[in-house]
Amino acid sequence: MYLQVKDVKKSYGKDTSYIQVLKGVSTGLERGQMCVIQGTSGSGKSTLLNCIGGLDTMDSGSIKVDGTEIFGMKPAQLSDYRRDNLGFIFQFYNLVPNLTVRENIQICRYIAEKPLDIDELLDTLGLTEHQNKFPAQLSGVQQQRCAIARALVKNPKLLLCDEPTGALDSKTSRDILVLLEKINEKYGTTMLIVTHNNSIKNMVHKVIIIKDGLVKKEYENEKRVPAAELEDL
Amino acid sequence: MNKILSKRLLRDLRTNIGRYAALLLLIVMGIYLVVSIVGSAEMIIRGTENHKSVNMVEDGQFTVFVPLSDENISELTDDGTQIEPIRQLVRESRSAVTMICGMLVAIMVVMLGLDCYVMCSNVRDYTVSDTKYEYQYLYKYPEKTVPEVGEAAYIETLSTDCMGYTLDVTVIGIDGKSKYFDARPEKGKTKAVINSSLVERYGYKVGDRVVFSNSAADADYSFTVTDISDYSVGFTIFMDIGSMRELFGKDEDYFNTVYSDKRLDIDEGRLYSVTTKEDIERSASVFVKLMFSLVVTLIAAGTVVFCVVMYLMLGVMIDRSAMGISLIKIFGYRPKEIRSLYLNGNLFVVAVGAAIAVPLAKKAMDMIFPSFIPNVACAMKLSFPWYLYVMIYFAIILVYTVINSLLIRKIRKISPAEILKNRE
Ligand SMILES: Nc1ncnc2c1ncn2[C@@H]1O[C@H](COP(=O)(O)OP(=O)(O)O)[C@@H](O)[C@H]1O
Ligand SMILES: [Mg+2]
Repeated sequence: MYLQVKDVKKSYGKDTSYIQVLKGVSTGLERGQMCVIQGTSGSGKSTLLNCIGGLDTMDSGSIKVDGTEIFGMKPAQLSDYRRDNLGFIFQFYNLVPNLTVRENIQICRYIAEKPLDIDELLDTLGLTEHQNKFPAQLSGVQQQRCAIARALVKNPKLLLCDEPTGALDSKTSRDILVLLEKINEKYGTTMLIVTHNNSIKNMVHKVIIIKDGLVKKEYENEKRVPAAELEDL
Repeated sequence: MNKILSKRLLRDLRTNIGRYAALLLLIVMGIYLVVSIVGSAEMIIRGTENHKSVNMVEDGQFTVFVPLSDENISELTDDGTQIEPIRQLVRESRSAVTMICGMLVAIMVVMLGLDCYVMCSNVRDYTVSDTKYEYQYLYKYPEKTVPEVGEAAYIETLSTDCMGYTLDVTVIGIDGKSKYFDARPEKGKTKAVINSSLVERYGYKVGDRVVFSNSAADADYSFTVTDISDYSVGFTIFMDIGSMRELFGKDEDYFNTVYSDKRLDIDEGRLYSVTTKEDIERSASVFVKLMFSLVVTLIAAGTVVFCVVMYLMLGVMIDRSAMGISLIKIFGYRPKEIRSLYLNGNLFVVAVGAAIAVPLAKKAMDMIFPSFIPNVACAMKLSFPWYLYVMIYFAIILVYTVINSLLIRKIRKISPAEILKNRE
């Protein structure tokens, strides 16, 4: 198993504001798999993703990525873990507003060990002609493409996406999903996609459904639907 | 001696209450400026935070992205990574100006201290080097004949006004070949050579008409400046001794002062006072001693203000960039790399700012400084040796570097999840 999550618990707050968000999540993922984490709003999807991404610390349990335990890591170790393994894509693209598209991508390229060729990537994502524009000059989908390029430029082993299409309409959502699919095929990137959209689960290898901080159901798709053919996005 | 000194200090304090008040005001103003800079920075932060949450954009106006340091670059290129430089963002000019203004005020306080020190020590040094004689005998009852090795001179005291204070101007009548003074006054009752101290204080030029008064006799005397002498002790003008006797209605060979480089054998009863070069050196040094604690206080206060301004301004830059920092922390940037991305560009601002602020503060202080001591008739030689400028400049860069490294703690505190929390 490339990603192994075992009995992860996470709570926030104290006394009256105490809430247990993750109540013992266990699951796993093989290398190169695309996986959807689905669940209603507030079920703990983002919290789980942030624990896996080393952005939040869990209270107990174990998360192993490629054999490395991240529970108990210090902030500096977590930082290096993210640097070496992860790519992030968020719902709100989180681009640096005063850097151009190209520069936004370069920020992540600097600290990568084996980065991809930036021009090739821009070309794949259809951003070549926009590379010198600022985020504010781009449409939502172009900004998300830029964010994807930024996440991919360091050729991460594990790509974590939190509602990557949450702010996009159905047509542009499809474009983004097609792109993720293409990248998964081309580079074998393991992907974890958080969504509350009910249709995306059909294109991936594995589906994890979270409810109230527990894995309610998980299964592998026998037959995947290509992203281009997804309905009701 | 100590008693006299402390008495003198007290008297000094009492008579110069206005000056000290002005000084206090300047320091308070400096502190006020710092506080208001920080206050406005706070307001800016709050304003931009509102703006951020409304428009879902990060305010990056304050941030500067610069290429990684040479060290980082060589590290990366050694691994075969190909590097493309990121354009350095030009910071909003207002922020840079605010920072430079804060620096300017702080540097001005330091300059005031340095000016004070430089002036006092120059007064001492020049007084000593300009005093060529060993003995000055001032007569109460002048003799008819000049002692053999001595040089006769005629001294009168007039006065001039400086911002409401009455200051003494010594008129020295000498003949054309004085051994002890380099001034060569022309003959003429209205012609005089003035000394450099008068020029430094009042800006007189050759050809100007200057007026000094004798308050006792209620008479004004006006002179045309024929030359300027480097003699820097007090306010002094030189006249041809013959013309001076005529002007003040004295006999043809009247004199009341004798200069000499040896002790002379003169009946003490005839003398008003004897001043040796040693006496002059001692009294000139008292000046430096009196001012020393003030100088130290000013320089220390200026330095503290400077450090505070710097720390707060750089801190504000980090606070304003918290979102961006949080973001690149997610990518795995380390605090040191973040600091070099966000703050290294400021080195440029500080370096250029200091290059502007140091001479500007010096110029401004030199202009204001004479008004701090309107009641002292002395030279106003305020020029610094060049290495002092270099030292100040590098001290600024050093302070910047130290504060920059202190700010790493602030960067460490920003959590990588900050940016995610704010979105939900
Ligand atoms: N930093 C936090 N502090 C307190 N409560 C939090 C925090 N982050 C998330 N929560 C709570 O945890 C629950 C799950 O949040 P989240 O994982 O974001 O849900 P999802 O992404 O599935 O919509 C929510 O009820 C949310 O209010
Ligand atoms: Mg969420």
